[in-house]
Amino acid sequence: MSLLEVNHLNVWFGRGRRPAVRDLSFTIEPGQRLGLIGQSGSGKSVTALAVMGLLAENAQVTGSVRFDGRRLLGAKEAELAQLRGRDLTMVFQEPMTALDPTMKVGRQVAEVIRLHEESSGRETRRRVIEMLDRVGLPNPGRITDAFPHQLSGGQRQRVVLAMALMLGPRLIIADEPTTALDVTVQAQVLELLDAQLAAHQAACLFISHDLAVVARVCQQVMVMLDGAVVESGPVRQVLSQPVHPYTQGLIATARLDLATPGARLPTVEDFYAGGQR
Amino acid sequence: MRRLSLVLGLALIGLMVAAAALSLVWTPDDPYLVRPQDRFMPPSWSHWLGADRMGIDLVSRLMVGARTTLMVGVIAVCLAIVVGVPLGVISGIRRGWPSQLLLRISDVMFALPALLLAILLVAVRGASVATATWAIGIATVPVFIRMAHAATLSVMAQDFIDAARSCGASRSAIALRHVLPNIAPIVGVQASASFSTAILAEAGLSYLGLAAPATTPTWGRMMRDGQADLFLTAWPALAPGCAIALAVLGFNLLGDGLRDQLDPRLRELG
Repeated sequence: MSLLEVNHLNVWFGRGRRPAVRDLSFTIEPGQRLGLIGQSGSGKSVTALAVMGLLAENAQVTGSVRFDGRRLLGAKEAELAQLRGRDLTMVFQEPMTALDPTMKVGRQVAEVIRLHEESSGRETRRRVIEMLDRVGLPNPGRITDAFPHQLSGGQRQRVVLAMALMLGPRLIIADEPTTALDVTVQAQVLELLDAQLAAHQAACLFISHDLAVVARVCQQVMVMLDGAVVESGPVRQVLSQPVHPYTQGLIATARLDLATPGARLPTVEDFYAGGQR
Repeated sequence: MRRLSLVLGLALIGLMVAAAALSLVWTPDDPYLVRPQDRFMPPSWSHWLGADRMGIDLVSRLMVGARTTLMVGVIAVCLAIVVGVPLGVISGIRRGWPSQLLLRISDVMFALPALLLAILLVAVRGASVATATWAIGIATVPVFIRMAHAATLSVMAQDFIDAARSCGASRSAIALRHVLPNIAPIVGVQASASFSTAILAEAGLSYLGLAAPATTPTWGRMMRDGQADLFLTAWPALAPGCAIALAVLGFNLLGDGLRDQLDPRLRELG
């Protein structure tokens, strides 16, 4: 049985509007990492939020989302809350806003434990410090007592990652987890995510607009355009032999090493006229 | 400059609280003792701000009156916070028809002046400080509902709320652990502003004779009595009038100062 099974997912905001996600179906097996690529507005994040059940109230959703055989779409909020944070977690794009500014970092990580398990204060603190250490934060004892604004962006994203990994989830949805970070920090965080996913044998739905990043973390990839998947398959195959013109365009524009100095750079529109909408 | 309003506000309010507290153990003169020979006496060593038409020392009466004013303000604002903030937060988190109904009701209450509500209550329960406090408190509730509702909406739109939900936090956990701490500064500022409104409302009700009986010293009542003798001497009306103005100014300055202190964007610049 697949860990995550999404069937004919449709999401739209408001009657008569163009759907944000159209007839999307995919599965993720236990331990598998699936990349989801597409430009802004292609429906990547909406897909992630739909799986988590975190879409705004004005969103209309049809189709089915099953996690480990359990129906997520239409499930009671309390039932979802039990799964979230324990079996199913999410890493957000913006580390600057994903942490509550009024709460100390250690307490926010401890919240995840507190929401799902009985644990004494001292034991919780020990586990939090251990986790912060595992995600590579220096001096974790001091960082637990820091407020988010006292940390750098990279440090905050590590804290967000610590929250997502705390209880050893089976599926992590990472929504552009490195987009807001600068390149060196990006590499460190990716390496960390890679190692932790392997250590926990956790599956991952990895959302990004960066082909190189996806190629590094994932085995499978889906390319989304205007709310629908236009191409999917093993990363190596999709990147080396793209079939859909949009994917061809994406890859061509990413290969700056092939560009001739002085010549005009390729754009996605050279390959796919409907790309810019 | 921003510090100044906070300090000045705190100083004015501190003075008022100190006077009220001191009046519990000491006043320059007996605030209830009638001395006919001191009637309309201008400020002097025996009566620092003079004496009123009954020959009662104005300073002593102002100090005792500060107690009533503070008590009415504290109780009314607390009542408004305790009722209004939870309702506002809940209506901001759960946006069903009950929340919409609540917001419309609070809009209607907004349109109804506190004074009218007070007259209504007084007609039913009789004039007393307690009635006035209730009336002011109830009239202030919608202010806090609206404010807490709007603040909750803006907090709920933040990423960290989604992050908390993705960690498995229930609605009530989010309300208590994330929304309340984040809107607390705004509630504090609003409380300070509402306090000054409450003081004015209490003075107004007392002035109209809708709050305290004549024997209870309150600033509004003192002003009303002083006004009758305005052509003979200005002091009995001027003293409580200034006290009210300074108290209102104090709470407004405190509110402004608090807002500036609590706004992180302004703090970073300063």
